[in-house]
Amino acid sequence: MKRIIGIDLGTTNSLCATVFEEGPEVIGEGENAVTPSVLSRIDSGWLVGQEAQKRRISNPENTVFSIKRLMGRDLEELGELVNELPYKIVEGDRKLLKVRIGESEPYQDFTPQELSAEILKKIKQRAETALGESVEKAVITVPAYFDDAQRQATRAAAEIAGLEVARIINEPTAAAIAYGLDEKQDLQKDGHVAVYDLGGGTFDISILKLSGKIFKVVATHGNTQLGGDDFDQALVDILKKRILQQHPQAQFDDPASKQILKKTAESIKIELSFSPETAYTLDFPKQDISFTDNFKVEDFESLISPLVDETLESCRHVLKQAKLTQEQIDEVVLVGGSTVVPGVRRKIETFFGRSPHVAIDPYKVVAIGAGIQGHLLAGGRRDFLLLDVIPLALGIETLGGTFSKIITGNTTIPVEESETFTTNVDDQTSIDVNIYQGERELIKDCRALGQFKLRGIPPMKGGFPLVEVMFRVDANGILTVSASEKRSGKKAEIEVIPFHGLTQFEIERIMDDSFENAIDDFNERQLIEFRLTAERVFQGIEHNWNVAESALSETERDKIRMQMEVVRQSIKGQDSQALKAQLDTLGELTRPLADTAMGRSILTELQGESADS
Amino acid sequence: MAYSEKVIDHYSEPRNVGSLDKSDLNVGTGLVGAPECGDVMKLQIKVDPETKEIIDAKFKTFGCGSAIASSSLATEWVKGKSIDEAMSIQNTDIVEELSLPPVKIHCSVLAEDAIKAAISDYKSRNQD
Amino acid sequence: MAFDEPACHTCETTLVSRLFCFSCNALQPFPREIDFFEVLGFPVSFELKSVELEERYQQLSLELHPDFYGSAPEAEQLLSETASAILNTAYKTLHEPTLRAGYLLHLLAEKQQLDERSLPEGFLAEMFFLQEELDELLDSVNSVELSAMHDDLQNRKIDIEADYAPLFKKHEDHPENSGILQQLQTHLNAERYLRRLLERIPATD
Ligand SMILES: Nc1ncnc2c1ncn2[C@@H]1O[C@H](COP(=O)(O)OP(=O)(O)OP(=O)(O)O)[C@@H](O)[C@H]1O
Ligand code: FES
Ligand SMILES: [Mg+2]
Repeated sequence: MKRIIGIDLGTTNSLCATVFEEGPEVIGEGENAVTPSVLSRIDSGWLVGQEAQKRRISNPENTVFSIKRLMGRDLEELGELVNELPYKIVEGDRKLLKVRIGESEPYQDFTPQELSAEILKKIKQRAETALGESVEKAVITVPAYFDDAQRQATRAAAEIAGLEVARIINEPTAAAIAYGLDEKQDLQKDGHVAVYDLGGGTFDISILKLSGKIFKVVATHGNTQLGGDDFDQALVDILKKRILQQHPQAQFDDPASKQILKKTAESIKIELSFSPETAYTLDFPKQDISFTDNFKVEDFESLISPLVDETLESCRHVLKQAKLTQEQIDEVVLVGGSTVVPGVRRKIETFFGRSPHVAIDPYKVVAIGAGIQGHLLAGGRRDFLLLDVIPLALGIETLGGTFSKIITGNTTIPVEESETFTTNVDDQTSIDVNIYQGERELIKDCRALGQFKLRGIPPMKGGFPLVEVMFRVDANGILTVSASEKRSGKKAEIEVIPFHGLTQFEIERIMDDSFENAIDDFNERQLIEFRLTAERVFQGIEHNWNVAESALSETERDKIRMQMEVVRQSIKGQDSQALKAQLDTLGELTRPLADTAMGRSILTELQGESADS
Repeated sequence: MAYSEKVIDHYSEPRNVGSLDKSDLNVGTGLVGAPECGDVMKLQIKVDPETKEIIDAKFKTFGCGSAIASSSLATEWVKGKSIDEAMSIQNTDIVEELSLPPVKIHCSVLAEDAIKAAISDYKSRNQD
Repeated sequence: MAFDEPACHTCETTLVSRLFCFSCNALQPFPREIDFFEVLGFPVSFELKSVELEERYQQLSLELHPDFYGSAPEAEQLLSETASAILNTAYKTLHEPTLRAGYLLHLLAEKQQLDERSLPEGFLAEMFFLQEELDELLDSVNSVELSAMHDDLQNRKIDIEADYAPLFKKHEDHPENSGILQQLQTHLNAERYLRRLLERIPATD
């Protein structure tokens, strides 16, 4: 069974988990468990995680964070965010966003997919080191409210990182799995659970119905541009005002000042989760400004109150979608770092009229759920099933810029719907259709996903061809479109041009580029490790050989000798996996020897006993 | 789908929205609905008693953009036509003119039905 | 209604659902035009216990879902995906009484010519009138009258829905009486107009 790990690719923190013999757990310990979703450019490569985090203040232009907020978006959609971020963002072809590194020409531009891939690569590497095996497949989580373009972007990032995506699952659903399957939780195993997930950059609320082995998402809502980052930003705005009162000449537009403000805001916020008031100091050495003041929790709470109310608005909406009232919700589960804020917690508690669950570490729970789902997909268990939904309706543009839904929001996936199209004029051989996703009536309020062109329609009288177009949303929540002409039975050609995101060609080009720069040294590392193991094993065997003489039969001893020779041959080779397999076999053969060596005295006694009786 | 300027125009600035005097003997009123979506449409024609030509047409639609554009187009088309000519307008003509996609065919049917209903109302009130 | 009993393509056991054989655990190839009752393995009837439907849906989901075919051959993966998709649609349709009524009527009326646009006498004029009235209420933001209108429409909708079960029952007892199906069609149509009006009224807390 090939392992499939679970990855929580967060706005601020990323982590991975898997199912060990003792149960599901995050991979890595302490510092090594969490990878900050930050990267910093050095020469021709990237520092990722903690090392990059340290450079946020010292090297702000080259240090990139919150990339998740850029995934599958364009400049217009980002709005104010572009000015708030200390690094440069530009728009390329097809409105593709790029992060620009460098003071002057030649710039280096990177798509969010590539940057995200760097984080995934780091995680993959960490997991491989910790597990001592190569990792090729993963379940990756995304906010439930991610649309098709954002999901596609995530999948592209994984592909660039050399990870096969076994499944994309929604973060709140992953959390629900982790809770629901955890025996230690006194969570009601049948009933309606609301998962409230407020992380660094995104907010989701999902309602699930748990019954027996099934976790069924009933409805979901959210905001992919609302999270702890926005709490920080609100604080930054206040801090700026306070400083300006004392230092009217102060300037905050340079990357370093932006980072200082952001970092201070975040520490104030976190401090206020544990104490009613906190002191802070802001130093801008270049401007010769040092500013000290206090922040009260009441002020912070009223500051974020409109943002929290926005999340409650989503909660109200999702209940309506689910046709449920607050009283019918049996459990509330909190996920994400921003749910630690007491003011947030209090509001949720009041809204649902019950105290929420926070027992599993809210930072870890999504990764753990993804790890469990990975275990299921790998065939490790089949005692539960997750039925998720597509968050937003999918449809096409019709007359006057109106949006015609083909698959409605909150429909259980996978799902298929077909729609028949025809031509308007004689001998027309192609039809263009624009695809959108959203819940509003007009396409201008929905997300443009792409355009498909139906080609190769046999020439016929106008209105005569019947082109059946199949819209299929798979279990990842990703759309594919296929088409056939029913009268001729011909498969119509369909070309989907994504409006956001990378084409397969672009993904492959990026992958080629990155392979040129980076050598996949995993095999190399493994070889070294296994060769060392082999040395140790040989020593152990020699050491205990006198025991073997007495405890093992001659044929058993011969087998061991022979296998040792096989391992010696493998050591000379270059195939780490083959070496590992041979070592495992040797381990099997020498197990009785190890047992004997270790428990020799006990064994002697036992044998004595059995001889007596 | 790329819609022509003209079509978008019919949607954003529909022609002939309003009502005609229902009690006028020369006015025929058609009230129709689409059970597919629950939308309703009223279309009225005014006929010259001498020439039997349609001299005015008005509509009011509670429905989608395609239904609004279809009825706007229908009122434009019937004006100046004899009632027999108007009777021959088909929803497929509307579909073609507005390049409506399949999910919107029923909206054009609504417009065709409305014309027919208005004419038959006029006829039934003007039987000799 | 005759229920031709399909058998498993590998072990030939009579199938409960056309999608899966519970006795040899094999995915079944199925025709594209499969009906939703066959998908879930229930007789073609409006009477359907929602607990049983739910149970069957779960049972089948636990067998068909692509999550369980991760390492299966590609053809099987694909089949599990289409089977799950149709299962989801079938469940959604049969679970919701109005959708179930509409779907069942469509199946039963296959050989009969029904007037698909039929409505109660004067109903359309009333709907048009209500739409105009709703326009005015929405303009004046009169929340009291709006919610009164909402409740009124909602009650009428509930009354219509309550008729589905007895009417389908009547049809089962008197399949020769085509008037019953026509009556059902009229009910379904009327409900659609009421729903359209309800959709236009914004939610108030
Ligand atoms: N003790 C705390 N009090 C307040 N906020 C906190 C605390 N701890 C962490 N946060 C905030 O939580 C956010 C990070 O949470 P988390 O790691 O769950 O997010 P993420 O998974 O990276 O983001 P997302 O799920 O939105 O992609 C940051 O905004 C951080 O400032
Ligand atoms: S959707 Fe109702 S008329 Fe177009
Ligand atoms: Mg998160």
